[in-house]
Amino acid sequence: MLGYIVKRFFYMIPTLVLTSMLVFFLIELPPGDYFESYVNELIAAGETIDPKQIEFLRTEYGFDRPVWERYWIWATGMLVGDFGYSFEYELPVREVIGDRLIFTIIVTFFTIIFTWLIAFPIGIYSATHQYSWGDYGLTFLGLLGLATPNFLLALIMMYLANQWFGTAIGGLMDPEFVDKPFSVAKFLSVMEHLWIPVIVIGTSGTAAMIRRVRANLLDELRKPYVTTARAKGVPEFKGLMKYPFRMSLNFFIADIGSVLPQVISGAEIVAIVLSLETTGPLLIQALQSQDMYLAGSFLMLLAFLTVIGVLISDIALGFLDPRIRLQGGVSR
Amino acid sequence: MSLLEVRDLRVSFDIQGGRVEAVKGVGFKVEPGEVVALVGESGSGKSVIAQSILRILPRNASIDSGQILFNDPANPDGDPVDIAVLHAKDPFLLKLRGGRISMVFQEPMTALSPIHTIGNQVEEALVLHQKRTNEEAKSDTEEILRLVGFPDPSRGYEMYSFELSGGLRQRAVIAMALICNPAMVIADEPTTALDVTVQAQILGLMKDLQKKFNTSILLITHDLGVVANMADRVVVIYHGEIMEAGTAKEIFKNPRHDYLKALMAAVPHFDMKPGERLVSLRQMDETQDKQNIEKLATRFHSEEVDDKTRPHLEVKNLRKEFTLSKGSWFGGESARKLIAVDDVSFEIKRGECLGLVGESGSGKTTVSKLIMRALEPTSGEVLLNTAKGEVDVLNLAGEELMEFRRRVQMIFQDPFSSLNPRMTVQNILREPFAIHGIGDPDSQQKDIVDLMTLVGLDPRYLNRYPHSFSGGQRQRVGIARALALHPDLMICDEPVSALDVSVQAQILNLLNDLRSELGLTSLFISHNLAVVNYVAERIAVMCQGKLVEIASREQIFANPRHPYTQSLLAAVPYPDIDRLLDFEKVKFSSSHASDDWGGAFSVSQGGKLTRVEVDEGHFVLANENSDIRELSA
Repeated sequence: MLGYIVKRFFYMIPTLVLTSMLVFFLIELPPGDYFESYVNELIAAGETIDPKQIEFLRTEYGFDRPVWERYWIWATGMLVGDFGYSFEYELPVREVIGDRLIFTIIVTFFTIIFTWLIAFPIGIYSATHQYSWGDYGLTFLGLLGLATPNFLLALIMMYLANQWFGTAIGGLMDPEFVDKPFSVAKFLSVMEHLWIPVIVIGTSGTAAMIRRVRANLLDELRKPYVTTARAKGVPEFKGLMKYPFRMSLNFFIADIGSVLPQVISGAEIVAIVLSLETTGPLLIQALQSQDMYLAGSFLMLLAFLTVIGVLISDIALGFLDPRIRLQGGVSR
Repeated sequence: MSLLEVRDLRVSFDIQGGRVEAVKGVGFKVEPGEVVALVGESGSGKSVIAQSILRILPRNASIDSGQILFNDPANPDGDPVDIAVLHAKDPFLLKLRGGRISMVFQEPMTALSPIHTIGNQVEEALVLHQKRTNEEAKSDTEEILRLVGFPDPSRGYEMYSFELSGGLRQRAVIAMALICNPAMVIADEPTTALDVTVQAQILGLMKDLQKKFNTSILLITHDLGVVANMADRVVVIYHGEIMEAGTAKEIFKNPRHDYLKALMAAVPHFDMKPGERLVSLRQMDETQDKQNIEKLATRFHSEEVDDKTRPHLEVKNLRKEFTLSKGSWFGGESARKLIAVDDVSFEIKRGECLGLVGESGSGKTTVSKLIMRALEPTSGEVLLNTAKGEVDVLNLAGEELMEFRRRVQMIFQDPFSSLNPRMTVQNILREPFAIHGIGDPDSQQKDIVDLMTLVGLDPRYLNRYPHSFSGGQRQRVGIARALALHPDLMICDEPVSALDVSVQAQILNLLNDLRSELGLTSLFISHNLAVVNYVAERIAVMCQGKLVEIASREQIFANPRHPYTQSLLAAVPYPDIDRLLDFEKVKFSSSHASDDWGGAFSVSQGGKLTRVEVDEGHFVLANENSDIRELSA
C-alpha cells in the first residue's frame, strides 16, 4: 500500500508539469498582453501615456524575453511560493488570492457536506423503495432543484434571508467585518451568511447526486451477495449498510477528484450574484483583463486541486477496496 | 415428524400488468439427515421454492397460499412453525436464516462480497446467531475453513474472494452455510459454475459434511448426474408443478412420467451407440429441422476440394504468452508472463469434428482465437487447405485475410451477449453479406430467409429483436449468422453450455445435421465431456495450455492414458445410480496438480515433454525419457 501511495505521488509530477505548460500556453494565446489592454484603456479614456514607460514596465516584468524563458521563471517561481505579480491589483498574486482562497474552501467544504447529507439518505431511500410514491416524490423535488437556475435561486434566497432574518444582502459577512482580522464575531457573521451560498450551490449538485446514489445502489442491490447476506440472517438495514451501500460508495470516492474543482469553478455566477468574496469572480476578471500571472496561477491552483482530489480518491479507494489494493498480484 | 414439509405452495410474481404463477401447488417433505433433490430446468420454479423457504423472495414475488412447516430438531417439543405465514419482519425469520436453515449459492464469485475478507463473511452468521467473542468466532471460523478443505485456514481467513480459485470460493460458501450447524442446507445449483473435477470434489465434500453433521440438504439442480450421486429422494418439477417424486432408486430405475423420461433421453451420455440421436423434448421441431436442412443443403454447402487426403486445418507448435503486469514508468518490477497456449499442435481432417476439451483456464478458447486471427500468437503456424491450395493463416493480410474470415466462422457460448440487442435479426444476418460485399439487397434478402429456414426459425420473425427470442432460438440465430457466408470451418466455443438440457439436445442435433449435410469441418470446444463425446470424432484434451492427449473418441473413452484425462473422466457424474462417483479417487485430483501426474508425464525428474504415440492415432504428452510400456499401464 505504501509503495502504491508513493507511486501515485510520483505520477502527479508529470501531470502537473504538463498542465502548467498548457495553462501558460493558453494564457499566451490571446493577442497582446496586459499592458496593451491597459494602454488601450487609457487611450479610450482620453489620456496619454509615455511609450517609454510601458516599454520599461515590459522589460521589468520580462515581457521582452522569449516565451519559454518566461514560462520557466513562472513555473520555478511557483515551486517556492512566488506566483508572480498581479498587474491589476498591483500586489503579488499570493496576497490577492490568499484570503479568497480560505473563503472558497469554507464554502466548498460546507457545500459538499450539505450535498452529501441530503443526497445520501434520499438516494438510499429511493433505491430501497424503487418506484414507490416516496421515490417518485423525492425524485421530482430533486429534479426541480436541478432545473432551477442557480442565479435565480440565489436572488430569491437573498431576498428571503433579508426579509426573515435581516441578514445583510450579499457577501460572505456583514460589511463591517470586511478586511478586518479574524475574530469570533467575524466567524459568526460568516456562518450567518454561509448557508445561502451553500444551499444555492448545493441544490443542483444534490439532485444529480441523488440520482447517482440511487442508480449505483440499485445496481448493487441486485447482486447475489445481497441475497447471501439475507440468507445468513443479517438484519435488513445492517446488511444494506455493510454490503451494497459500502460497494456503491466506490463511485463517490472516485468522484472526489472532480468534485473539488467543479464546486469552485461552477460557482462563479452565483458568487457574482451574491457578491461572495470567493475566487470565482476573481478568475473571471483576471481572464478579462489579461492579468496573466493572476489568471495563470489561479488555473494552476484548480489543476492542483484536481490532481490532489484524484490522489485522495485513489488512496481512499485503495484502503476501502481490496481489489484495487491487491491488483496485479501485488503481495500484501 | 419431517424436518420440513411444504404443502400446496403457490408463489406468484407481479410482472407488468399481471401476476404470473411460478409455483403452482407444490408439496414435498425433507426428513432429518436426508438429501432431497429438486430437479428441473430453468424457469421451472425450483429456485423460487428455495427462496420461499427462507422468505428471501424478490420484492415483486409473494406467497399466495400453502404451508412451509419447519420442525426444528433443536426444539423437539415445540409445534412446527409455518414459515409461509410469518410476517416479513418477524424476528424468528432472522434467527432461522443462516442459523437453522442456510443456503449455498450457485455462483461463488458473486455470492461473496469482494471487499470483505472470507473470515469476516463466514463468521458473520456465527456472530449473529450465537454469542461468541471475537477470538472464539475467529477460531471457530478457522476450524470450519479447515473442515471444508482450506489448506491454510488462518491465511484463508484474511483473504478476499477474488484471491481464491473457484473451488475454494465455493468451499468458503459451504463453510458459511455450515458454521452455525443448521438443521438444513439449501444448495441452489452448488456446482453448476464449477469445473468437472472441482465439481466432483465439492460434491464429495458436501456428502462428507452432510454425514458428519447429519444435516439435511435440499439440493436444487438441473443436472441428473449430480442428482444420482447425491440424492436420497428426488422431486422432479416442471413449470411450477411436481411431475414425479420418489426415492433416487425409483426415479432412475423406473421413471414413469413422460417429462422425466424425456429429460433423461435428452442428456448426452457416454454409453450412446454410434449414430444414436439425442431425443429432444419437442420431437416436432426435430423432424422439421432435418427436412429444412436437406432441402437447403446444396445452397449452403461448403467448398468442394479435390484432394481430400490432406488435413483441412493444421496447427503447429502454437504458443501464446500474455504479459500480466507491465513494468511501470519508473522501472520497478519486470513484466510477468502467462503462457496461455504452450506448444499446441493438432490437425483436423476435412469434414471432421474435433472436440477440444479442457477446464476453465486451460487455454482452449485462446487456441480458437488464435486460429481466427483474433489474437496474434507468440509463435507457431496455422495452415488451412483450400481449393486454391495451402493458406498460411498467420501471415494473411488485406484481401486474403478477408477471404479467410469468410471461410472460418464462429459460434459463441453466450447467445445473450453475442447478438447485438439493438439490431433486428434481419440486420444481424445481413451484416456478414454487407461486410463482405456479397450480393445485392434482393439476393441478400433471399439468402437471409433461407438461412432462417435452415436453422429452423420462422422467417416471419426477421424483424424481431434478439430479446424476444428464447435462449435456444437465439443460438439458432447465431448459427445462421455463422453459416451466412458458406464457411468451410466452423469453430463452436461452448455453444450449448448456456442452454437448458432439452434445448441443448435440439441445438446439438441441429449442429450435427448441419455439419454432415453441409460438409463442414468443425472445432468443437467444450468443458462437457459427454457433449464432446456426442458430436466429435476425435478429441483433444487441454490442460494448463498444453495439449496432453489427442485420440479418437473411442480411444479416449475406452483407454485414457494421461492422468489428467483419467481424472477428468473419473469426475463426470453419471445419471445412473449404479455408477456413482468414487469421491475418494477424485478428492485430490485437480487440474493444477500436475506434480501428481507421475514421472512419465511430468518434468520433475528432468527431461522434456514430448508427444508420444501410444496407439494408432492416439498421442499423449509425456516425458521423452519415459518408457512406452509405462505409458500404456
